Amino acid sequence: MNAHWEILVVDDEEIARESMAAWMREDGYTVESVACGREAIERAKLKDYAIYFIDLKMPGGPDGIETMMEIRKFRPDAPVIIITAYATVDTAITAMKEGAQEYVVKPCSPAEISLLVSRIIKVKNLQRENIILRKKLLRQYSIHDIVGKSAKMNEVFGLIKEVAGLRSTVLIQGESGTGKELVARAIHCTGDRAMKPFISVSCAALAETLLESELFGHEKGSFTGATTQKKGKFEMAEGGTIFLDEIGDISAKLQIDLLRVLQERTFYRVGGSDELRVDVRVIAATNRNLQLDVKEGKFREDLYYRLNVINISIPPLRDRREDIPLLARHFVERQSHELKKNVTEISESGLKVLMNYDWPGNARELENAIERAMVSSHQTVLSAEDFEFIPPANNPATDWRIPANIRLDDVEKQVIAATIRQTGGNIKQAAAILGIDRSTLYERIKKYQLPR
Amino acid sequence: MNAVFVLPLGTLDADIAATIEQGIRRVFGLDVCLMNAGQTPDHAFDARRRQYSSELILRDIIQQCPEGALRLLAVTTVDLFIPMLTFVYGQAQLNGRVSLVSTARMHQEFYDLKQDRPLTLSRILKESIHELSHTFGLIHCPLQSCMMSIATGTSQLDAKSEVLCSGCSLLVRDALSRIKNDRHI
Repeated sequence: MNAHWEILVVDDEEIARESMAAWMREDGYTVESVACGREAIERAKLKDYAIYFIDLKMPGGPDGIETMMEIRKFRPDAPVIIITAYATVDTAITAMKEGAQEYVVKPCSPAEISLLVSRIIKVKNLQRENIILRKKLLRQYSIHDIVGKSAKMNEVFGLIKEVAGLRSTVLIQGESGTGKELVARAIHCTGDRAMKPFISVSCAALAETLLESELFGHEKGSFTGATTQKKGKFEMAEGGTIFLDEIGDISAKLQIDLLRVLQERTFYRVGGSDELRVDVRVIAATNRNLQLDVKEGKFREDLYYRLNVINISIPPLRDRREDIPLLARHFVERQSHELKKNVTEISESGLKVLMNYDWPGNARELENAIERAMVSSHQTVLSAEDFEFIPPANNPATDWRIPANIRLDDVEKQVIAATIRQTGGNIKQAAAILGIDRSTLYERIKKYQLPR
Repeated sequence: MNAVFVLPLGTLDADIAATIEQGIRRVFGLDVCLMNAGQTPDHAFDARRRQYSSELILRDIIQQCPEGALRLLAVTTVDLFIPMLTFVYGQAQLNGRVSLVSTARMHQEFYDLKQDRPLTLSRILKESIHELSHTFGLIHCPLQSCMMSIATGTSQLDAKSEVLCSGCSLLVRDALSRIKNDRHI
């Protein structure tokens, strides 16, 4: 249906303007018409038209080409058709150079205009269809705002669905910015506790005593400043889920209290003597290596095993680069609503920059980068130039300091050992990275007595 | 009055008048009232293009539309144009009361071809019903065989059948029943 599409006719001559608008309306388009360039620019600011028919010569204001250039500043993809009764090669060249889709000499045959309009509308329909399909695809590759199509993220999605209906405690591990809280929320929202509260607590943000009171609540007068009784987060989460972020940072005392909650499902308010019972699902998260902390005595082993009933490990973004385009587009779509910016896409060059960066801050850093690019960009498509603030990809050839006091064969030994470690002992892959054949690599391994 | 008024602008041959009248009765089921012939307004003539502005004629006949006319179809023998296009077969007020059709390009002689009266009458019938249907709110139909499909040349015009497709027929019936309810006719 053509009714979806709106067309703007800009012509200072009333009869020309209105008759053209009437002719287009008979084709089912919604047509608006204005008498001057200035008014056209104002209308275009309010609405994106599918086609702009703009007369070249309009006295007393911007002419057709100036109007088009002004509109294209904020609608760079606007399909503009410049109409003129007095065609010259110069104006035609200028119009096309400045981005006019077509340059039409009036009068032209109805067949020509009809074909031109239907060609532009066909492209518009395809673009719209493309956006709809993209959204559908994104829904297929996402669960509660977590986006990814990589095998690693598919595993995470599978685990979320699998554990959502259980009551078991979940430990989510992953670097900062990988979306641990999103995973926790997804588990909560997918399961039968979805209609009950989801309470999130950042354990690292509060001092020990404050965190204790925050988690378990306190009785009136239990400490200075406790002027009223206060319910803790565990009570607030009754029937639902409590998300304990940065669990690796809690004190030894709190580790014991938490262990009791997990074992007995009971606790005491600070300063209270009544044992309180709760039905709360615990999901904890950390960016630390808890197993190492257990080994080093920093984290209770029994608590670790209580928390680690189900383990979900979220891979860092650099290990699932194939998700970057999908995530980036997802953020563009979200930010375009929040920032009220008409940015619809990221160019191939832009995606290349994003794909080549390691994203130590993971998805959160990527989202911030997209937001920064969108704030400063005036285009509808983000390109490599919009991401100039991202440091260039690490260059392995220059990213290390060359030692000046080391034997050459020691350097070779260390490089080979590091490469084998990096490939997890995969000799074929290591040989390819080092640029030598496998037999040479075996020979060096033997020579330097390297473990495989 | 519950009729479509037909206003000849210039001499309207009897067979053309009869074709239009029968077509209107068949498609819309409405009475037809043939008005006394008038003249195509001089001020609509563009000396440079040697054609008449359909927009100006339409504006003129809106003023002349009789109070009791349900719709008015003006039929002119002159060639019509709008500034953007080299020609138009006709023009209508979408969802309005007045429409206009030109018979100039319906004749084979216009294209230096041998006269073919049945073909001319068929073309006039199709374009008259097409323009009148716009006044009932119908827009162009994607079905080429339907009278409401767009014709930008004689090949498209001749490819149309002399009937509205079932979808467009339904729209006409709906429009007529709405008018009937509004006017209690």
